[in-house]
Amino acid sequence: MLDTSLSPLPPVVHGAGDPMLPVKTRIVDRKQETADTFTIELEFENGSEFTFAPGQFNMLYTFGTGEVPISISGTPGTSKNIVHTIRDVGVVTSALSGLNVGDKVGLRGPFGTYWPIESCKGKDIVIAAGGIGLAPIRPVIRHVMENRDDYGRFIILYGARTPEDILYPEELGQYKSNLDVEVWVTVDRADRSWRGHVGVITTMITGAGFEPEKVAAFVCGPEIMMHFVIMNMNRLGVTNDQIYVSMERNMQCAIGRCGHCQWGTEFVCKDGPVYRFDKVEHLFNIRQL
Amino acid sequence: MKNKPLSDLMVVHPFFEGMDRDHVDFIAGCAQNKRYKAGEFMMLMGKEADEFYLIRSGRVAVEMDAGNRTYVVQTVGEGGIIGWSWLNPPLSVRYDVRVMDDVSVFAFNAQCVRDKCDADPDFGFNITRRFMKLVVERLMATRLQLAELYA
Ligand SMILES: Cc1cc2nc3c(=O)[nH]c(=O)nc-3n(C[C@H](O)[C@H](O)[C@H](O)COP(=O)(O)OP(=O)(O)OC[C@H]3O[C@@H](n4cnc5c(N)ncnc54)[C@H](O)[C@@H]3O)c2cc1C
Ligand code: FES
Repeated sequence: MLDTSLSPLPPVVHGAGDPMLPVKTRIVDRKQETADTFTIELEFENGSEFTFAPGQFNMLYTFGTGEVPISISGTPGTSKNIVHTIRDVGVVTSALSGLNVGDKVGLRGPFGTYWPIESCKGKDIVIAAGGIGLAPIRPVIRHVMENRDDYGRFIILYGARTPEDILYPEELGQYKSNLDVEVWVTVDRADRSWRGHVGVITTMITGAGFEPEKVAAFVCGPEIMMHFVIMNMNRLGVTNDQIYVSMERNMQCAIGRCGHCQWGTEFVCKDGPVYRFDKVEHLFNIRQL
Repeated sequence: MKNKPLSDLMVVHPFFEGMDRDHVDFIAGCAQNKRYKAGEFMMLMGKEADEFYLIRSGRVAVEMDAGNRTYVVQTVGEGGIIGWSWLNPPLSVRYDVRVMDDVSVFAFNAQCVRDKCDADPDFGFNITRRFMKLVVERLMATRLQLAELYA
């Protein structure tokens, strides 16, 4: 059973016992999700299994290019497969995008805190994700779906730029067909062929009509989106100790040594990336730290 | 069986939240129930802004016709408000409004509401403030869209 606190799990050290040393994995599957986003499935070359909690991330290393933190977006628990959904935005993510099945990727991890799915049992779970932010939170969605009786209402709010940018559309469609899951997808712009909602994600929060005191809200996306989502949730009566966010900062060591990910007093790699919002709200609105 | 007065039905719409019953009764004199079928246009760009709508059920798309392409600017559903061009000159509709799912609305005669706003400044201020809130919300949403919220 997972720990119910938000402290990091003990680091899992694969291979030579050094958390700074990437372990070799092989790409066993690759899927282009949208024009700039793809999913890769990795397996350790030595055949060992991998365990992670939802919200944790790995450092992925492309040989000769560099290393980036990427959340794990598969089903939580233990398995041979390690799933990552990645948006191609720069040097390393572009190099990862160019790899194919059979190619090698170095991996360190899993690192960081995780979404508190155990301590939120019995609550109404509200997920608010924007853009690529659906990937780090997908393990939570899968966990709640597989343990549906442990939770109250389950509301998924997802915003994307255009219908073509919607991540995991088939999976969202499957969830939507369940009578006890409420899935609200909205896009910022569309043409007439799109039958769904158009408008910013904040407009859906009011529409979802949840009872604030029962809610545990998991919010993941760019900071500007999280800012406005939280503002709207607060307006409805959801307090900051009911809201969890996942933060992103540039990283290097991922084990709290180098300071690259420093955010005020926090080292996002080890104190985060998942935070209960009331613990970090004082840092959230500060332009640059 | 006697039908309920329209204002009794109207009060549950979020637009009237916290509004004095006198004012609801006052504006109800300008309202009627209307229904539109999916595919119909409730408003067309360039036409006179002679009505505005409070949506009771269903969903509409606010659209912008860009010649070779039509953009959906926003979809609006139950509890939403459609139309603010009726408040100020030039009193002409700025977007097309297409019905996506059959809608039932309270439709308000714009001239009638404008006259009542002029006749009773207290009422007029109340209505203007509620539309101001709507305009601010839409402006905020537009700014967020411009800010590339998900980039
Ligand atoms: C804990 C954590 C989890 C993450 N999980 C994921 C994930 O699941 N999937 C995923 O795709 N990304 C994820 N990221 C973001 C990812 O790490 C960055 O996109 C990546 O480091 C960029 O590296 P690069 O070398 O490709 O780009 P760089 O060459 O370093 O940057 C190129 C350009 O991209 C911009 N850029 C950098 N990072 C981002 C960003 N996050 N979003 C938009 N633009 C950016 C830079 O400002 C620069 O202009 C996560 C980050 C953190 C800290
Ligand atoms: S990445 Fe080095 S301290 Fe966090």
